Amino acid sequence: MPSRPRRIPRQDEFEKVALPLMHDLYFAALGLARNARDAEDLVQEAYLKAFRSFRRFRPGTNFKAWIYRILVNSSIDFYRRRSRQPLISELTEEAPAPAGAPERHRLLDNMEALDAFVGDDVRRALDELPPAHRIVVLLADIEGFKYREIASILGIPIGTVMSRLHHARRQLRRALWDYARRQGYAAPPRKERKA
Amino acid sequence: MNCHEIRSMADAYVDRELKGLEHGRVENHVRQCPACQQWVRMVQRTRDTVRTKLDRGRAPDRLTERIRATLNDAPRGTFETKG
Repeated sequence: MPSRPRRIPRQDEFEKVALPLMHDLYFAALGLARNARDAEDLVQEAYLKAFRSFRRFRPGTNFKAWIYRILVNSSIDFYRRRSRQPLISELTEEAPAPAGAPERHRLLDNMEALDAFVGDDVRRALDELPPAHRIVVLLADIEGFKYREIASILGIPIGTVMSRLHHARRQLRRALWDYARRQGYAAPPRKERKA
Repeated sequence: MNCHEIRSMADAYVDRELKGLEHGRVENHVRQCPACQQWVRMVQRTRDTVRTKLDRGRAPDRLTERIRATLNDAPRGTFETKG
């Protein structure tokens, strides 16, 4: 086990590596909290915790994944303390697979509907996902983390990351499709089946 | 591998997260199966839609100052030293 420096890290050293990630962390926090005030509190708390344990961070490893893990853990603590939105505790628990009919339909035959979406539509569809599914989409598709990094951030096995992402994207397609139909982006299918 | 199995692996396939052998098996199937080709294209396009259209936005300017103030106030005796 290599020895680690015991000196207290300098604030400017920490800020230099951590602050450039603030906007990314805030965006992820919005996905966890879904309101701006809580997201700010979460990011602030994550920074404090990260600063306090910065000396435990091993240089040369992935700082971004390290601080995201702290953010996720902070969000679990944050809502546990407030005894509300227990849904956040689901982040590390098994999320149920979505129910519904097979996906033979819809976006498959209407992929051009995706072109009509704007950012707010996608955000709305993401917000409809359960938190345990939303966070894997955010980490994989927005933050660009590899599955093994997501597994480490969320403290779950890689196989669970894989299945959550599969289910999450399936739900997302469904939400996007429903929204596309309501907005008239997509023509009604020949034989609509209730999902 | 049948189409159902391929589709359950399609997300990991488009993310290039499957190991060499598995990736090859999915690729071979997809190459020969028009329905799975279309499925993979849909998975890819949905992922790309999220990636390209979602506006990440920016954190409020005041957040930097809030964080700095919190760090300034952090009691220096509370740093974790456990390795």
